[in-house]
Amino acid sequence: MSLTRPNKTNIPLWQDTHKRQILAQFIFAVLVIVIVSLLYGNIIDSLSEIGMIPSFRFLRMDSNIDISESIISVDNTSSNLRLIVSGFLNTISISFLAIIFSTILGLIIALCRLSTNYLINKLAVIYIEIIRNIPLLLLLLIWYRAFFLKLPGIKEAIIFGKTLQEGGQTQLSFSLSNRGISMAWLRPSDHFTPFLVCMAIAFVVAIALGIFLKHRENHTGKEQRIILFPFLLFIGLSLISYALLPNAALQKDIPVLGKFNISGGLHITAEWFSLFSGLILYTSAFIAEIFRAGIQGIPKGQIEAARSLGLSHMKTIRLVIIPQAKVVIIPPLTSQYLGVAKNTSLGVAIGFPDLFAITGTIINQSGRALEMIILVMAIYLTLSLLTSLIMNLYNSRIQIKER
Amino acid sequence: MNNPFKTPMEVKHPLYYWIHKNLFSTVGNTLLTLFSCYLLYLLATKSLLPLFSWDWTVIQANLKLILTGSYPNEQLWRVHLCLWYAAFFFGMTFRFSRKTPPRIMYLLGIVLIFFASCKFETLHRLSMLCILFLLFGSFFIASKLKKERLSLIIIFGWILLLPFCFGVIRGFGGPLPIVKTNLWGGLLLSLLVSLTSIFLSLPIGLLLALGRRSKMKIVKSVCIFLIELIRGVPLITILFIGYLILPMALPKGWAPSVFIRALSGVVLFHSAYMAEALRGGLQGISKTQYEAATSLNLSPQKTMIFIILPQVLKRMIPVLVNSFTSALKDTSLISIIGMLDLIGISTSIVSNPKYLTGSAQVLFFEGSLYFVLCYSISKASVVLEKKLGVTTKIKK
Repeated sequence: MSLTRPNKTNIPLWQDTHKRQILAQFIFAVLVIVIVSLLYGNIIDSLSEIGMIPSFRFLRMDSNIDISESIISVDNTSSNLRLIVSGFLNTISISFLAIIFSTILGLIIALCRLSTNYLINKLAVIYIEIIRNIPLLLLLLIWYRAFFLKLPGIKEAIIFGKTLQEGGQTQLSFSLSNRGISMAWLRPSDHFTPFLVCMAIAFVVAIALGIFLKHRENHTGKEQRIILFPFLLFIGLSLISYALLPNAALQKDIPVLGKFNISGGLHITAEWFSLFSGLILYTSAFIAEIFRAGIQGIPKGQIEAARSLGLSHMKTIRLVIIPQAKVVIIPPLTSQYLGVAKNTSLGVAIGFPDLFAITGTIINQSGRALEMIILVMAIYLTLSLLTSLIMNLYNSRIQIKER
Repeated sequence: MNNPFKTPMEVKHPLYYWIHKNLFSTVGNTLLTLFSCYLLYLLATKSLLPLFSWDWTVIQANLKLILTGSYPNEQLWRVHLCLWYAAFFFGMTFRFSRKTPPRIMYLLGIVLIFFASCKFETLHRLSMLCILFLLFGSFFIASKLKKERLSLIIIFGWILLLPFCFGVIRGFGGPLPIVKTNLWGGLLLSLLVSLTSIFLSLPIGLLLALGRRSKMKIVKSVCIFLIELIRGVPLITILFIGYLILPMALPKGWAPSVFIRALSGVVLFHSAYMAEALRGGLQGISKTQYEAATSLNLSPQKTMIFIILPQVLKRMIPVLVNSFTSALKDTSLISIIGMLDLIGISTSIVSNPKYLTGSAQVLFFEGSLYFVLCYSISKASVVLEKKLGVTTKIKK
């Protein structure tokens, strides 16, 4: 700007952009403060009318709530806070598993969608279109009400691999009833710690090998198997240590058919499975579209150029397609993952005790709506702001700069 | 046709060539074909055929409940009036973007004929056929109009859609007695809530987006805080704020109805997402546009109103149409706070001991309703996107 700044005194107040902006901001700030304080005052007034003062002391009180499943041990005498923690862990664990499985399923469907085979291509299109155009809540309800609740009760459960033991017990390897799924499972035994240590050592060794191979590749220019060999080494070392350790690190846990229930084994409740499968089906369709857009967005010339340089098919994918597709795929993929964490809150509709369902129950029990909603929003917000922050940093780094 | 790039095989046996190329070109491809044939077989025998053997009386008996909730029977003509209005402009909009009726119109036609053949009163069935007639009729009326006039009519028609529907369906006394919102339900409620949320979230989202791009620090930070706060939490928490906190926060005596409370939550939620979409649109406008406007001595406000926003909004039309589908899907959550929308009504139908076993049928029917609506709307947005994309290209 080569313009000389005109003398300040000559500009009337309402035409000086700078001063006008300050004035506008001041008015805006005052307005916001007035509105917020009015709303807050109203809330405090209506709460004090029913004899309540907002405080977080109720978190330490007994909850008197029974919840159906939890990772940490919880009963109706544990505090509200412990219940919220258990709900939070439920949310985190189910969204973590759902993210992994829906990414795998989404990748498979995206590959089907990109396939030249007419039939499989059209099947993938139909799947994606149907799933993307119905609400997740409906999907969950279909799984829960139209599938699990229609299954026979625990006495007439569908059972695979039934064996009669000597003591008159009936063992089974897999059962399906309206309470969920029970199946045989491996559980860590009392001698699990030494095995864990061995696995950690194997992991470190594998990483060291990977670094060494990478170094050699950089040094000699010869291609090395950086992923495959360390992976095999890790698996091999783990298996050898499992076989060599004196006590078995894992023990079989086989469900036993009782009179009214099935005990032991891995029990997956109908609510957990409905939410899990609903989330996977729903998210995978969106993830498949993201992958497809990312891969199709690469100009054909890139692939042709890579092939004409003599890169193999796998190398073209690894060195040309993935690095370019990544830029397009990662931002929407991150927001899908965030969406999974938020969508677990729909578990409330089918009675899965996730963070939000427990919040709702505590609100019903204690009437502490304001505090609980603030708390739960803060938890969800911290989760997504962390991810959002990373995403924005990444986004601003890869954004195409104009001039 | 003597195409030098085609093999003799392709010219002689095109069908055989197509099958070979698309289904059996390699061993892997053949395996995939066999696998998908097996999948199709499973799909047909395990899920499609049983549908015909199901007992569909629960749908037939509750069709009115699913579609309009407990809206009074003698006032149902108002809903039909709104449908006529919407169908008229639907047809016109499709003419605007294409010369021949697109496939979605035929899909909608089939759905309408299906409903016309259902167990309704004769008058309602006739009205369904009228809607079909209007849909295709307006398509051909539109071809008689000039393009500029047509686009003006369409824009005003769609803007007036929401006030028209609200006025007619709620009523204001006199010939249109007031129907309270707690009687609304089913598909009617879902559609109204999602429509309103789009219409209201556009201006709110626009303000938030402009605030976020503003140079004023306080305005910017307040807008960022609001947008990120709302986008960072699940919709159901926002709905709970509307449901539980809003009545406390408003002055005494206002006591909003459950409908308003649910609506405010949905609108708030969608405004934040709309703001982000609009911010994307604003970012897409080249800097040269601003510079050109400034060099023409337009003030920043005028630049925004006359230069930037018309371009942004035009580009945003497909996004807006598409966001209607996500609004429609998200609206299903209001059933959790006890509204009798499409999902909520299914719970209340199934809780009737007469229809205890019908939950699968009801859910399946509602799923197909959602699918037809969302699919046709998202296809319409693709049509619009193509149309608008072409015009911007020519102008460049």
